[in-house]
Amino acid sequence: MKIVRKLAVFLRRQGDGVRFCVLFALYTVVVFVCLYTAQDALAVPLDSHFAWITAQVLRLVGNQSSASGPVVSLSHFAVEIKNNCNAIYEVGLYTAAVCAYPASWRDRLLGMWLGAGVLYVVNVLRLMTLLTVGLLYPSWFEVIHLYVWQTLFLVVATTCWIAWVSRTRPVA
Amino acid sequence: MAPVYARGLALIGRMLIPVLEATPDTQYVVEGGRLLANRTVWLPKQKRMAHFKKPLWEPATNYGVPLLAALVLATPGWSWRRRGRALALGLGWLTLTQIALLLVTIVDTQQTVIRNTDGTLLQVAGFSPPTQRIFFVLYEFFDLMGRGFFALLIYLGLIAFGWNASTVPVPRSQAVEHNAPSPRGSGRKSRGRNHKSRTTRKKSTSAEPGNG
Repeated sequence: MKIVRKLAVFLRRQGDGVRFCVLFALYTVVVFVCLYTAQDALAVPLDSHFAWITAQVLRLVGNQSSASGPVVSLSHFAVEIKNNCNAIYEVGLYTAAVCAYPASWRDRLLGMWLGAGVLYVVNVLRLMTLLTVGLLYPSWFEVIHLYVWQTLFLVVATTCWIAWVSRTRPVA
Repeated sequence: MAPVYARGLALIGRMLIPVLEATPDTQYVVEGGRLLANRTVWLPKQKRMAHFKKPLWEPATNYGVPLLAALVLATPGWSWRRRGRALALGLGWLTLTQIALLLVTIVDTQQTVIRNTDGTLLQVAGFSPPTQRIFFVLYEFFDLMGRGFFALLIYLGLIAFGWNASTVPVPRSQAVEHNAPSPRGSGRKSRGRNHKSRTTRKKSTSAEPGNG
């Protein structure tokens, strides 16, 4: 009985936090299911797009770069952009966090578009640096790819969300 | 830390071997920081047992712990006490996700088809196609979320638990300034946020012990 009372007090005090956590977890699962189902339709064109845009930006800054489907090459080093490198799951997680926060739909849409835009630009930067690292320091490629950039990317997503929340008026 | 963490997971896994494993003589061993399943399969054609190892948990693909710790410790505006509590709570939740990942991986790795030396294909546990599909999707989910996503989910949750009526920041434009008209429209001037009204002061005095 005491535990139930304590739980009730906790839920009353932390109602907003509990609501956010439950919704965030729920939306994350929904986003995963949606993206997983639409993987072939969404990921393949997105991979090719990221390969193309990376090659274009690298050419703009004076490098010999080319793209063919999801493969992008810089000089004699090439990488294939696969499903986890196109940032859709990161954007999905960020979108779930934005939707779970009690804000107006106008603010949510704005947050989603701005965050997705930032993550898009950061992903192009990620691909450019990975190509450069792969070309100049091949032994560091896996470390930078799997740990450094993956962690940085999630930190960027967190920063985007915190920045959005701090500028958004909560709606009851 | 990885071997210690892997040993803890192995301990939980060992307790569930009779429930989860199709081959009861399976052993869970920790090599380096990795947790592996040593399974034995009966090869009917060769009439002998075959041993094989399957990785169940790898620290290299589950780095949520350092990410969560770094995020919590770097959060501005939190006292060290709150950071410590958040870290303990966060790591507890993260461990639960790792246990869930382990359980799903134990089942999923038993569905993996093994190619025998004579080319025949073997499967440790014969699940129905829908069960196989469900566990495959679950494994994909936990595998993806293990790459820092769970840490992020828990971290944002920890931030959210700091929200309540007293800590929700009020935008400066909405705050009532000293001597500004009352927001309730009574026409009187507001006394500002830090002013204590006479009645409140009176009540707090009378609530003190020994004042009757």
